[in-house]
Parts: sequence; structure tokens; C-alpha cells
Amino acid sequence: MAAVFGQIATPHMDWLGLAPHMVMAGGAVLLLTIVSLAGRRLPAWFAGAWTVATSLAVIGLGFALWMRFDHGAWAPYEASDDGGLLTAAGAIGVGRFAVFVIVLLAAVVVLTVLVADDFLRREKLDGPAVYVLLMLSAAGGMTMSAANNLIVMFLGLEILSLAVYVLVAMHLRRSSSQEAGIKYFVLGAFASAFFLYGIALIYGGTGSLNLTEISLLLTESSTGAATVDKGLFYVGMAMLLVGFGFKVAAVPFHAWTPDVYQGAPSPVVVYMAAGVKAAGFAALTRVFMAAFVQHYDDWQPAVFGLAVASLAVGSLMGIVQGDIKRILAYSSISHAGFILVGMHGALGRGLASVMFYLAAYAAMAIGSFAVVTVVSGPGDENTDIASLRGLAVRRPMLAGAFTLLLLSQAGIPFTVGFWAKFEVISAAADNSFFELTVIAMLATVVAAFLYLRIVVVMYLDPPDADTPRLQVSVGPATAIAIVVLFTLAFGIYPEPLLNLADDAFSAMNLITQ
Amino acid sequence: MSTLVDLVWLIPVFPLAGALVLLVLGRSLGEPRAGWLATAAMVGSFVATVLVFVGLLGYDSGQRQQVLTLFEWVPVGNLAVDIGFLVDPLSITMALFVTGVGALIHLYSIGYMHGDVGFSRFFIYLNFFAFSMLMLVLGDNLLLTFLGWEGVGACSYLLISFWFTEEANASAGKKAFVTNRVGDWGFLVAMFLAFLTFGSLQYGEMFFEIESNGVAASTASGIALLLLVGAAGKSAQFPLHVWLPDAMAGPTPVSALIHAATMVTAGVYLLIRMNPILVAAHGWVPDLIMWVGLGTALMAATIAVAQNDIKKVLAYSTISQLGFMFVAVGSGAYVAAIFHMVTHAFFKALLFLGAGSVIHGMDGDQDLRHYGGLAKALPITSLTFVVGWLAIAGVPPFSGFWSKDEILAYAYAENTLLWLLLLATAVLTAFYMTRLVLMTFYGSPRWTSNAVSSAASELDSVDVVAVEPAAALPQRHPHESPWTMWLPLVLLAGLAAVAGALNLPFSSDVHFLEKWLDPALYGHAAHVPFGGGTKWVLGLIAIIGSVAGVAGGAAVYACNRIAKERIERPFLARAWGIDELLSNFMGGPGRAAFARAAQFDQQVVDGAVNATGMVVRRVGTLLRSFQNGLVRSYALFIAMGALALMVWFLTRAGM
Repeated sequence: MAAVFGQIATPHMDWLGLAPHMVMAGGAVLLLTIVSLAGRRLPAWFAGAWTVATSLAVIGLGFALWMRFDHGAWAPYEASDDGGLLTAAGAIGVGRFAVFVIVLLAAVVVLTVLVADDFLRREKLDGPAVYVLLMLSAAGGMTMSAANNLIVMFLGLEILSLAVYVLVAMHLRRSSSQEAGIKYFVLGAFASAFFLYGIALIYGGTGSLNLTEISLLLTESSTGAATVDKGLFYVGMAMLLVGFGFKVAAVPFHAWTPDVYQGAPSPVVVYMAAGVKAAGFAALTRVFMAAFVQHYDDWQPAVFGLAVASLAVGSLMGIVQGDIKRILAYSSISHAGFILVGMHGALGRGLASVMFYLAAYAAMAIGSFAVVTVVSGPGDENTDIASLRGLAVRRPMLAGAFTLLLLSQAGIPFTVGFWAKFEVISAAADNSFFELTVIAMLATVVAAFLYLRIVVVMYLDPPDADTPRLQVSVGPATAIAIVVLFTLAFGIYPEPLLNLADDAFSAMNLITQ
Repeated sequence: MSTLVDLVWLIPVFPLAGALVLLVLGRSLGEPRAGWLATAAMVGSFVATVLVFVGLLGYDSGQRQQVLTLFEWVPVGNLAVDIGFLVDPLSITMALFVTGVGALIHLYSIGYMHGDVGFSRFFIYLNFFAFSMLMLVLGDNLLLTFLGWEGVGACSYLLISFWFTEEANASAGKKAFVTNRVGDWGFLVAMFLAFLTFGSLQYGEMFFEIESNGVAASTASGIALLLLVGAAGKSAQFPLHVWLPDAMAGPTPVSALIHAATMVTAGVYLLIRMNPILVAAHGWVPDLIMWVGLGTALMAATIAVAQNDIKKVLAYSTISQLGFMFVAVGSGAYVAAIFHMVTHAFFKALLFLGAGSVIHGMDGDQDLRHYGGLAKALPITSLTFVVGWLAIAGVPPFSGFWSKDEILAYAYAENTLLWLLLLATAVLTAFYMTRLVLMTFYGSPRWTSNAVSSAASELDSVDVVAVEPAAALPQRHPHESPWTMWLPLVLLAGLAAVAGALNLPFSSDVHFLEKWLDPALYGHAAHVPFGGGTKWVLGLIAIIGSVAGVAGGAAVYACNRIAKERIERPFLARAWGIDELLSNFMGGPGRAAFARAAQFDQQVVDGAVNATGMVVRRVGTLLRSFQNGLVRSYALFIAMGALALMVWFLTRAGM
């Protein structure tokens, strides 16, 4: 029998590279097992602490992975037969690009747990299920960021999404939560169908699912060395863009966002806004830069259209909303527009600006929705903008932190949001896309109104007489403090984060070679 | 190679850390610990400066210009601005006296601010001021200097209106702020012009560019003139001097630190730092600086003669002394300007702190006419004050004589008329300072109840300032201040007495300051073109002038030989009516112009903004109708979007 095993060609596995995904997913499964065995004997904080510990372990692994590129130590890859960065028969490639996203997602999970733990107890929804789903979803996102094969990419996408559908519908006593879950699920399935069909068409057009191979085939086809069915391939590309556009909430695939954000439990929105969007953009840039970069000129105008539509709809619609979660949902749509502006200039320094923006936006979104979680109160119902009245008097620190995060979202200097917008807009300007630059600037101005409106309500409107005292517990307070520090520190001195984004970007370049 | 110079970042970090800690913990630390913490931060900063100074001495004279870049701060296109420090003799000289005098004044403030409700807030501002001032002098590029420039301006504003519950203090702060904005405008435009010309804001790069490629004289003149506007605002030169007398509304240690010793010298520092620009400019630009300085010095000295508020006298005296420094800068005597800046920092801080001690002893009364005979009650204060008086009056061997004499010598080399007028200013200085000292410390007390009758007759004067009836004066018990207040006085008195030794004129061996500063001036400093004989004669005339001023003061205020009303003219007391002129203009044609501008703003600008807002709202509401909450409509959007994308890609595929 041993001889038979010897004959089966097992692909080279870079176990360290795969470790983050495995630890995250394994952590989820283990947690489920432990809880079902030990049951009630475990303390209430166990599941949350487990999740945080797992995520911190993943962050640690991320650092180890990042560092091994420092010394030119490409050993695990050089030893493989696939050449370059790839492992698992070319299906996975954990370069610095993926590591950046992996660490970001793990950090998002940690902060989400800090916000969620208290919320779950407040709403009497505690139990390990939420944490298990959170970790599984993050593992899916990590797979998306590292996938070098369209089927693996699709698997990651579905692992990510299915867990989130359940999380959205998690609040058992709120029908709006369940309505949001169903809405998200139906529309998500619709978009996934496009995505899967797109994969099939790409395979039909090129004969490969491997991103590196597709890139190679496309290059060869321009010299006539390989044949690519252009029609199938182009329609496939359009459909992949639909699938990704849905995940990142780009217009016109955005319509679910305000409804789902409003209905979903607030801590879940923390994760969706920061984590799902980051994973979606990571996968989008990876596929379009690693595989389709040959057709940059073809997809760039489509990205332009999505960016402009997202900027316009996000900023304009945000102004006429009366619910904080809906306002922030439209703001997240307009942020998607900004990230697409960076993606549009991806051949220049746009990709680095996308990475920077993702990290910056994750911080701002986590903080903002954490504030909403605190303010929404028992039942998660107080999300009308009027519930913020006089917050500056009732909770000056909370109002101050929220103000800073909103100013950061508006792109005011000395916050990380300023540099994020600055980077994507200058990426567009570098490529001489001045019309896009002007549109992005205008959208910034319009969106500023949206954020300042919230600030005005907090500071200038007196509190309602019968407002109960707000409880701010340690978890959300810690999470908010961390992101506020992040926002300020990298707002004043953005260079370390810019360098990290640059490194992630150059590692991405290596994959395409 | 690492040297002590690498520690330069510690210099501003100490006060910054102090300010931040106090911001968080200030209230809980309370009095006096908050003050001690702030003082400790300043002492730490001073020690760091001394270490850097020692480190810099370790370099050869030619290499005493070290740039230490902490990090790249603003990388935008081809503009790269670093957070970096320029360690050279000029910046370290400034840093030494800023931190040294600053530490003493922090210590003094612990006593002076005793019992104030804003005790810890005061020290936050003071520490933050020190941080900003140090960034201003240590920054290696114009933008960083500007940042410090704005920082000290903000602190000055906050400290002038420190007791903001009183309307007058708040509006004095506003006045300082608005006047300084005019100057800041000059600085800003100068900065833009410099970047346009040199493609960099870093001092070293700009000066290298001038040296290697030269610069058009007209461009350099433009930059220099704009810098002059900025410098005139910060250093209170005519016609932007109006804010400084009002700035005396702040606590007295603030007047000593910010409005006498350090911040107001920032304009002089900026001009000297940019000396290659001044040299490259047309010849009339330095001349203009010179004459602005002279005019300010003379005018302020005449005004100081007629002021009755002890702090106002010192404020006008500061303006006048800054005028001396501008004369020195304009005549190329950069070393003399710095020399006078240092000695002035010592003796003017001393005088202000002494005045603060008097005010403290007199329960807040600042009117000279209520003083008299205080020498007995305040022995240490009066003794140290006399040292400061002799120093500013220019009596040898006190420090003021040496530095003023040097400026006079350069003025003589430049123009005899200039020299004569400046000499007259020096005589006036001696005169009004004598008046101040005699009215405060000597003569009969005008504050005791048995002095009421004699004081009442004395107070029947033609002064425009309404004097409260002497009978209403409360019973006072002037007392010496606590040690935290007199110790700085004694130390500063020592410095004010001997600081002249920094740059003695006798032989080139004892030109310590001149040799030390040389690398920062690129050999642009002027040198006196005449020999020792003329110098001696000039020095002698200066001494005679000082003595004459002191004697004149004594004749009027001690011996009553001349009625003081003949000297203290209302016109002078009203500060030449410049404030009235300004407020009349602003109230009349100025207001009409503002009203016109406001109308334009309301109708056209606001109209456009509001119309945009309305359109945005309309569009938003229209789009909103598509967001109807139905899954089928959302799916339709997705399908339509997908269709559009497919059509686009198929057209690209050429199908």
C-alpha cells in the first residue's frame, strides 16, 4: 500500500502559509466542540475570550508570515514546483497582500467581539454560535484574499457569506433582523449565481481557473500563442464584477445595504462594514489585478462607472436619511466608491491606496457602529438620529470619540480618513484621471454634510428630558478607544501604515509575474 | 556617529509631555504639584539644550550645522516636508535662553498663580507655549517654523485672555490674535513664494540654492518684504505693534515670558534665520527694516514716558527694544541683534517679574501713582529691579550697555542721522526707566492712609486716564514675595548684570558670540568699518547719554525740578492716538466695506451654497423612491447593472 501512496502526487503544501486559515476555521470548530461537551460549566466570557485568543494567534501568525519576506526567505515557495509564490498546486498564494488582509480581518474579529460580547448579554442572545459563525466567516474572507483559483475564491466567498446571513438574522425577537437576513440571503444568492456563472464562462473562454495561468494565457493570446474566446471571457469578467460589486456594496448592487444594516444586530454590522467589505475588495483587486491585468483598459472604465455611481448615490442618499444605521450604510457605499477610485488607478499606486483605505475604513466603521451599538440601547431599537440628541452632554467622551470618527470619515486632516482619501484621489490624479478626481472631491464635500449633521445633533440639540442614562461597558469602550487611537496616530503620522500598504501592494505585484 | 546633538528631539518633547500629562492629570494633581511638574519639564528641556550645546561645541566651527530628521511628515508631489531639527549656533542660542528663562518663569509662576482657579490650565498653556516656541526655533524648514509660529500665537491668545471672564481681557486677546493674523498672512505668502522659487522649504536647501544658482533680487526682495510683514506682526513693530500693550492683560509671568523675553523675538529670529534672502534682496529692503525699527523704537520710547500702568511702561519699552533689534537686523548686524535679544531677554524678564512681584505685593494694583517708597517693603524685588533698570538704561558694566552700544556702533556706520535718533531713543529709555523706578520704589509712599492727603494733591493731574479718588485706596500691606518668586529674580539679576561678557568689544578674542554664531550667518554679518578709537568715542557718548537720561529722570521725579506734566503729554499717554485712528477707520469706512462684503457673502455665496444644498436634497429624495424595501426591485437593479456591464464588456470585445 505504501507504494501506492507513493505514486499519488501530493502537491507541495506551505503549512505556515495556510496556518491562519486553518487556525481560524479550526478555532471555530473546536469552540463548538468544547461548548457542546462542557456546556453550562463554562463561564459566560469563555466563547468571546476563545475567539479573541484565536484571532490574536492568527495575527501573530500573520506577523511571522510577513517577516519571512523580509530576509528574502522565499524558501517554502522556491522549493515548490509551481514556481513563485504559490502552494497547494497553485490554488493558494499567501503573499504580503494576503497577509495584510488576514491580519486586518483578525483584528476586525477581535474588535467585533469586544463590541458584541456586552451586546449579546444585553439582548439575552449569548451563546457560542455567534462567535463560531464570526470566526468561520473571517476564515472564508482569509481564503478569498489568498485564493489563486476561482473555485477556491468562490468557496471562500460562500463560507464568508453564509455565516453572515445567519448572523444578520440572529436577533430572535426582532422581526426586522429576520427580514434583513432573508433579504440579504435572497439577493446574495442571486449575486452568487452571477459570480458562479462568471467563473464558468471564464473557464469556457480561457480553459483555466487558476489566476496565474489565466494571466499567462491572456498575455500569450495577445501574441497569438494561445487562443482565448473573447466573448465568453468578457461576459465572465462582467459577471465576476457583479458578484464582487454586491459584496462590497457598489452601486447599483448596493440596494440591500441600508435595509440590511438597519435590520441586522449592530455588532454584526460592525463586522459586515469592516470585515466583509475588506474581504470583498481584497478578492476583487486580486482577481482583476492578478488575472485580468492584461485587460486593464477594458475593465477600468467599468470600475470608473461603479465608482462614480457609488460616490454619487452614497453621498446624496445619505443626506436624506433619518436613521443613523442607514446614514452610515450610505456612507459605507460612498466609501466603496472611494476605494473603487483607488482600484481604478490600480496600475499606478492605486493598489497601495486601496489597502490603506481598507485598514482606515475598517477602523472608522468599527468605531462608528460600536457607538451605534451603545446608543441603540435595549432591543437595539434606538437608531433614529434623534436618539443622539445631546449626547455631548450625556456622554461627552463617547460624543467626542464619535465626532472624531465621523470627521475621519469625512476626511478631515489629522485623521487617518484624510490620508485614505488623499491617497486614492492622488492615485487617480497621478494617472491623469482628473474628472474622477473632481467627482471624488465633490463627493467628499457632499458627504461632509452627512457626517457634520450627526455631529450637530450630538452637540447642539439638547437631550430629551426622559432619556435614560446610557450604559457604556468596558468592551465597546475599549474597542472605541483602540480605533480612536488608530485614527489619530496614523492621522498624524501615516507613514508606517502607508509603508505597510506599499509592501502589500508590491508583494501583490510579485504574484502577477 | 552619535553625539550629544542627537538629543535635540528631547528639547521640545519635555514641555510637550508636560503639557499632555497636565492636560490629563492637571486637575487631580492640583496646586502646587501641577506647577512643579511643568517646571520640571522646562528644567529637563534646559538640561537637554545644554547637552546639545556641549555636543555642538564638539564639532569644528564649519560643521556646526547639523540637521536631524525625525521622519518625513508631508510627502506631497515634489513638496517633501520633514519633521526635522536644525541644530546650529543660532537655534541653540535661542533654545538656551528660551528654556533657561522659561524654566525660571515657570518657577516664578508657581508663586504668582497661587490660589488661582485656573492654576493647572495656566501651566498647560505655558508648557505648550514652550513646546511651540522650541519648534519655531529648532525647525529645519519654514513650515515647521510656521507651525511653531502659529502655536505660540495661539498660546499667546489663550494666555492674554486667561482671565477671560473680564470683557477687557477677552478683547485684548482678540486684538492680539487679529493683528497677528495680518503678520501671519505675510509669513504664509512668503512661504509660498519661497517654495515657488526654490522648490523647497528647508533652510539648508534654500540657502544652497541661493549660493549655487543665485536668486533674482526682486524675488528675494518680495520674500523679504513679506517676511518683514510677518516679523512686524509677531515682534510688534509699527504699525502692527498695537496688540502688545493690550496683551499686558494676561498674568504677569506671561508678559515676562511671551511678551518680552521669547515670543516677540520670533520675528527677529525669522529675519536673521533667513539672512541669505535679506542679503540677496535689493538694498532698500534692509534699509526699510532698519527705519521701521528706528521709528518703532523712538515712538514707543516716547509713549513709555507717559504711561502710568507699570506693565504698560514695560510693554512699550519692549516694543522699543525690539525696534533696536530691527535696526540691527536692517544694518546687517545680526550678531548685535542676537546679542541684544539675549541680554534683553534677561533684563526684561527680570523687570517684568519684578513688576509682577510689586503687583503681587500691592494686591493687584498696577498704577504707578499708587506706589512709592516700596523699596523698604520689597527689599529683594527692589534690589534686583535696580539691576534690571541699570541694564536697560545702558549703564556699564551691566549687560544692556554692551549690546545697545554695539547696535549704536553699527547704526553710526550706516548713517549718522540714524545713530542720532537711536541715541535719543536710548536717552529716553534711561529716562522712562528712571521714572518707573523712582515712582515705584522711592519717594514717599502714596498707598498708606496717612499719605492720602499728599497723594491726593499729587494726583490732580491732566492725565486723560481717570484716576480714582485717593481716599478710596484700600489699606495695603506691601510684602515681599515667596522664595519661588524671588529666586528667579535673583538669578535673572545676576544674568542681566554679567551677560555683557558674551560679546565684549575690546578685542576680537572676546567676541565670543560673534565667533559662535558665525556658521549660521554664512559670513553675511556686517563688521564695524572703523577702528578702536571711534568705538571708544561712541561708547563714551552712549554712556553720557545714559547718564543724562537717568539724571533727567531723577531731576523730574526725585527733585521735582521740572513739572512732570510738561513731559507726560496726553498725546503720548494716548500712544500717539494710533488706536483711535484704527478704530475710527474700522468704525467708519472700514465698517461700510465690511457690510458690503457681508452682504455679498449672504446673497451670492450663501445663495449658491443653499441652492446646491437644495438641489442635493431634491435629488436625494428622488433617488429615495427607488429604495422601496422590496427584494424584487433590488434584484432588478442588480440585473440591470449586470446587463449594463455585460453590454460594456461585449462592446469592448468588439461583438
